Amino acid sequence: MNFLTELFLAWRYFKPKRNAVSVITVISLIGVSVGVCVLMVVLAIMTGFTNEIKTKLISTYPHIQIQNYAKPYIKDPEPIIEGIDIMGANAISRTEGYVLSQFGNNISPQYVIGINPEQESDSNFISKSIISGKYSLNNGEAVVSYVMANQLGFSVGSKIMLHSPAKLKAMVNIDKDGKVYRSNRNDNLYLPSEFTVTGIFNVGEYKFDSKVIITNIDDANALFGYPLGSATMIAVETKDPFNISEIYKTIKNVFPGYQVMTWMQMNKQFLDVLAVEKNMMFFVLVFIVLVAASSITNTLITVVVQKTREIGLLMALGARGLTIMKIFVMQGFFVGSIGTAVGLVLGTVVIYWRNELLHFMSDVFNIEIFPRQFYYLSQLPAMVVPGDVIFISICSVVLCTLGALIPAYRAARLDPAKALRYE
Amino acid sequence: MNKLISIKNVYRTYKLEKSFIPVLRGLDIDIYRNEWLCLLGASGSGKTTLLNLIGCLEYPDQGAITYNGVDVCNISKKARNELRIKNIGFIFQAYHLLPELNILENVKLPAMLSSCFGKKATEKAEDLLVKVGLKERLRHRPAELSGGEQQRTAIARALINDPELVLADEPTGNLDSKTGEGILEIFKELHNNRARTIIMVTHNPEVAKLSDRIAVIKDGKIENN
Repeated sequence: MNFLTELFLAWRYFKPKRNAVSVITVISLIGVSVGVCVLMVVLAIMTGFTNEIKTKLISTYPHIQIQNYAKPYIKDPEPIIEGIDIMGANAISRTEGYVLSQFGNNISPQYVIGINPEQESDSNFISKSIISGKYSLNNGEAVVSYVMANQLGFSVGSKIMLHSPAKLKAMVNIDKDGKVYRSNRNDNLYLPSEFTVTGIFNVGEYKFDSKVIITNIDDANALFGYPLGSATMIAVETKDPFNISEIYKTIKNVFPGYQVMTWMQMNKQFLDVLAVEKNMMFFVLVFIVLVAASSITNTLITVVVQKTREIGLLMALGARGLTIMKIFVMQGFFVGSIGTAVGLVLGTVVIYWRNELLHFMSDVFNIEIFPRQFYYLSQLPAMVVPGDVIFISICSVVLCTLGALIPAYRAARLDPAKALRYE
Repeated sequence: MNKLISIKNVYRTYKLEKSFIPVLRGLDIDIYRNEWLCLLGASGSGKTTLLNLIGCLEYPDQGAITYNGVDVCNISKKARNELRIKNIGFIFQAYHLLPELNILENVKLPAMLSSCFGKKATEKAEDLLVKVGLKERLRHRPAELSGGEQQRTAIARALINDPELVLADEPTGNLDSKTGEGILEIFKELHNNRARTIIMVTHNPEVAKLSDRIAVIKDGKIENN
């Protein structure tokens, strides 16, 4: 049997004519197109979101962090920093930990990141995120987030106090039985450290913005009771944070006594949730295509009934059951392919005009569909991944083609003599 | 005479809901090469059933049908298909043209089903359509043709693969007498000049008179041969 004959007949049967079956075919086509379009748009937005979130994570977390296994701090970070420099990455020492911040009578727990301003590049993300004041970290100075400033009610130039956990710990002793009692009354009086707010930042990542105070590393070491010049970690900044497996392995091999973690390992749970969310979205939305494929099944069942005599005739002329089956499966393939192509074009248009559409819908329904204060994004992000588009297309065409199998099989099983008598 | 088809003791019963309707009951007939046989009989006597059995469109419940000495009831479906494509041309009372195709494509269809696709098939189809007087109608759809023109298209389609046997089921049944005469002229030409074997089902004794032999089916058997 000639494949071209099957293709020719399938195409002629598919080509729309002005009858009820054509209308159903067009509805099936629209169903496939809408399904593919929605899948493409949602996955592109999910990917865009994930990328935005990853970009925020990269800007707020070290690409790779090196910590000491044995102690809470690295006494001499300089040799490690020099070693990282040789590997072609930028490394800075940091001392981090939780403190209690106080402004007037307001107290809130905060996370201090003490950094060495001399080691930092000019383009570090916090200096670029200053919204008030300046990025200055001399001894006794701090840069704080706008969330904290709003919560505690201070501004640039205000004095805030940070309660050191090391000093607080020194105020109490615990004996072998776990009994807590006051430490030696002869100790010096404990006083919190005072810092002048020089700048207020907004990096656009809520967790970071709500918790972090930036100070000089020497002040941070003093707060936590670590030796001057030490660091709790070394933060490594790479040229390509999405491709750090090589440098990660090298650092692990060169510094075997240290705990080395990438930003992806630090945020694994969160990134896994994002990936699962995207997969779930695909799984749920693929049902739209499945419904469209079942409408193809319905359409083709109608076509088979309507064309029973023609199928009988084709068999009388010598067409085999397999030929008849292929003709109808090809029709499912045509609907799937054309519907998918139209859906991809529609999806591309929607993704291109997504922000305009969003504004239009916000205006029409008078609600903010994409609140800026929640997502910290002025525009709806989207990123079309060719792999996703190919996967959607293959899924759609395969489902639609499979949807044609049942009516095609039914057509192939027709008895030609009975089919020719069919009224 | 050279025997083309031999039908021995053929039975065929149809099941209609819960009842069984015996149509052919031990029918015997031989059909010879190049003869024009007309099958006559009342409605429901089994004329079309016999035609379908000869055309390998259905199987008998019992009995044997041989074509050129080959038992067509015991060959594969594929072989029966091949036999239909290469050796048998069908002409139906209701024409059965595909409305999606123009008449040239309709005529080419059996050639295409036998893997003859392209210029050769087109030329042959055009030649046949010219011979049946449809030179000006090649690109027309069946719906744009009269009944007579549609039946002439169906005849051209039946002949595209040069079959040695033409099965015609009341080919003039849906036509007025004048148009019917035109169709019968084509059958005469087929029989006399192109030496085809024709088996024609008809109700019309005048049409039957044109044939070499008339077989009347009654009570599921050939009554008068």
